[in-house]
Amino acid sequence: MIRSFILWAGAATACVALSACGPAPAPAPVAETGCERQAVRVVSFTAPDARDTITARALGDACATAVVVWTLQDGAGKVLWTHAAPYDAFAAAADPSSAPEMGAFLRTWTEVAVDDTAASPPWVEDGAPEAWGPSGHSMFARETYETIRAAQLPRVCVPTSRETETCLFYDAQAEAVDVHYERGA
Amino acid sequence: MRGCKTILAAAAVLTATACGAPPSPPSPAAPALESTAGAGAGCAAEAAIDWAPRDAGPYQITARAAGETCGAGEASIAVKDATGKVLYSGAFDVAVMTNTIFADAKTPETTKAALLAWIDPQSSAMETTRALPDWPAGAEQPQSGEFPFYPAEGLTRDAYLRLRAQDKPLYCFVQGGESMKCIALDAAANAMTDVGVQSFPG
Repeated sequence: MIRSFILWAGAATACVALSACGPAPAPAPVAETGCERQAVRVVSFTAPDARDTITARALGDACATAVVVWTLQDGAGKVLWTHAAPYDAFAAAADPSSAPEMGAFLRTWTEVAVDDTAASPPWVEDGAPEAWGPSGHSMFARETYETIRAAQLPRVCVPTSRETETCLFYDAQAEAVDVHYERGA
Repeated sequence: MRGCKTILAAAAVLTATACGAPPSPPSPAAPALESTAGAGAGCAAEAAIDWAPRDAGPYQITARAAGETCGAGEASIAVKDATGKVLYSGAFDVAVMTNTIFADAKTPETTKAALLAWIDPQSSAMETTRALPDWPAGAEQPQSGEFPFYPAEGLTRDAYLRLRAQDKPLYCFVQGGESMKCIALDAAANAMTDVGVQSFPG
């Protein structure tokens, strides 16, 4: 642990020293390997006229063992949310040469609907919403969950596996995204 | 990233409610553009390192970063077994690690160096679950000196202590400005389990 603390302290010092300098980053070539694909979609999530982006990437030489990454960024490129999972959490073991299928999956993964938190299932006093599924849950207490629902904040629900989904909301005052609830079978 | 802004967001939501935050409009039906992964990223880098914990492996740990600039965008980690099966994967915001791992990441080359340092199992002194901090009876969570360890969601004290006693290989990496994530390897089951997050001075 002490070794790690020393590393972090050093990194923090270096950050201060370098924050005002350093060459401008140059575009980096990206090697095209077996299943490397991405899909990018522009959405209006943080504001009605925002040009936010949802990017879905596949990383790996073979589709069957690829990792897929879903990232929501605001128009300035700030990462609001990102999630990674094995591709096989979404699909049965794929043909290693099935990059087109991967492309279709990524495209679909970006095509999540932007709505608002009023679309989240109501949480009545006698129990958690059935629509969450048996393993679904929310980090919030019921009262806060309902307050978020009533606020009609921008919401997007992203599949995180074949049987799970995370519903995110954006709070403009906090400039932050958080999970309203997670659905799970 | 789950839960890291929960308290902040909850407070802000209450504020937003009082101020009458406008509802979001329907999303425009813009088509997705497809390309090679990382295409269009101003700064993309990748790194890989072998991990051979005691009596297990070898495993490969890979990391990728992609952003409009270095020091921004997302970075992902994957741990795979010798067959390529993904045992763990996670994605993180690079910007929250610019005071730690990505402090020197100004170019794709230095970003690659940062990724290598990020995923190096040797960068954490906690090599097995036995090194995890104790979770005393009655305590809200384990504690390492003055720095709390936040167990993964759903991990009970009994399960945590059992995992700790089993002395399994542990892989820890920085996941923010003030914390590192730890995942335990069950070599027999060929699976990894999220144990939680160790805080440290930011």
